[in-house]
Amino acid sequence: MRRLRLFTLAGLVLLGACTGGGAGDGGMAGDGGNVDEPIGEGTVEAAIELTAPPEEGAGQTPTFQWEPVEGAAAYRLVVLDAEGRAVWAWEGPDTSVALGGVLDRPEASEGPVLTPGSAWSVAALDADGHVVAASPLRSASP
Amino acid sequence: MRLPAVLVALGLLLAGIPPAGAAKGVAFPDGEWEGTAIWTGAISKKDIFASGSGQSAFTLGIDGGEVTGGEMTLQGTGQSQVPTATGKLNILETLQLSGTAALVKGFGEINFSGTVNVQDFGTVPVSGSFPASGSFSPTFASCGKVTGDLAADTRKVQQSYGFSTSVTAKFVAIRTAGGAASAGILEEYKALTAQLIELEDFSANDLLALAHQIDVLNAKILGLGPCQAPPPGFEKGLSDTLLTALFQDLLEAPAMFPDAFTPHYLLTLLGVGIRVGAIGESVPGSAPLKQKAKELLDGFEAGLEQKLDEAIAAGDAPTIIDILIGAQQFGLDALADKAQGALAQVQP
Repeated sequence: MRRLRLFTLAGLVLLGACTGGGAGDGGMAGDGGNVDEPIGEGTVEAAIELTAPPEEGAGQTPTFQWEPVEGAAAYRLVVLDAEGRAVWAWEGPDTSVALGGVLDRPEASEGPVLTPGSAWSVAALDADGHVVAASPLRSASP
Repeated sequence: MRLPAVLVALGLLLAGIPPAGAAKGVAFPDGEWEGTAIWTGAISKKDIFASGSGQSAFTLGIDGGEVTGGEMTLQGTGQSQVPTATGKLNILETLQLSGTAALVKGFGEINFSGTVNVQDFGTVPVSGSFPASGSFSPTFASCGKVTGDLAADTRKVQQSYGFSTSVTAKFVAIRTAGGAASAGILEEYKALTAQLIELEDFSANDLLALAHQIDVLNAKILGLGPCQAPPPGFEKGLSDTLLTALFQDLLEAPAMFPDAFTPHYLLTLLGVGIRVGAIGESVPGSAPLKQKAKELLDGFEAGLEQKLDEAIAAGDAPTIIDILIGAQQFGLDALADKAQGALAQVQP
């Protein structure tokens, strides 16, 4: 079974801050702050806020949406099934994408579908491909 | 004179119906279809060798699971070599299609013209025709798109004669919408597959752009119109077999030889592979494709672990974080655990 766990970016940022480094060399998460001077409004803001779909009733081909991250040149989204195996991935500059990359896919079309117990996450990447923020792993079921 | 053997070797490149017809669940849905394929490969047996390449195109009508009509043409060039003779021919094969939606058969003829060079005799022009037959089955079908390999059954015939073969003719067929739209989409698909086949040096961004093109094309295919029921053999959640195979070929080098690639490049390519169904749970059903997908995933994971080891040795915390987040996202738990542990060592 997939190990449901949250990404540890906030923790990583704290680790980086303690040693003067950052989570990804520049970007909102790791701009050289330390524990006493929280990065941005605080390390929690290093996480990406996922806004859609809902955890239940997401449909078989949902559109994923999240809040933009300052300093992000691209986002990487990955969808896992209930066993923790990758079903679909996407990378691009947008802050929303439909599962399979095509909006409003009908039933008998090719491409991935959401199955019960799935989960998804988003990482924000800077222009060099370093992670600047990451979301929690969020459940999504049709 | 070895002239007939030269021609037989070339003929074997193209045609034949295996003794037992394939009986698969996948079939063309009812409707009118237009398809295209790139045919290429070689056969060999002891001192007999033949190779060729060309383009194939076909139209196909299906009603009630039966072929109501259709024609396939294959135009290309071939070379063959037997002891004491070589041949070089232009080939035009034309087959009238019949059979069922699951196993399409074709009967017709091959016209050829070219030259044969026979040792101690010289070069002679040759031309003529001989009967031809063939069959094929789809390996993936959705409402608007069917894919497979026109040469799958041909390979069985070649192997039954003791030849080793690398002949393939991966095809895509698009449901025709009675207008220019479907023809244009087929041309776009053809161009895309040709690009994938010819791509040698590529960047991660090149593959991301191709993956985006596939999304756009798939949206256009869906726009051709819905079908009334899922096609025979349709399995929800899978990608088409043609693109899966082509991307698997492209991803082999970075997965197996990661030295030349950065961790970010490997993570992006792993994502592209999963996006197009070359890796992961959307890989379509055939065992070789799934096996290759597993090998690729294992290769990328091993490559990323190698990059992680290098980052640990260099005390490179940002790269360790990149690999950690990527591993967590892609469900590579063992790699994520190692990265997590390494980070604590690098930044105690």
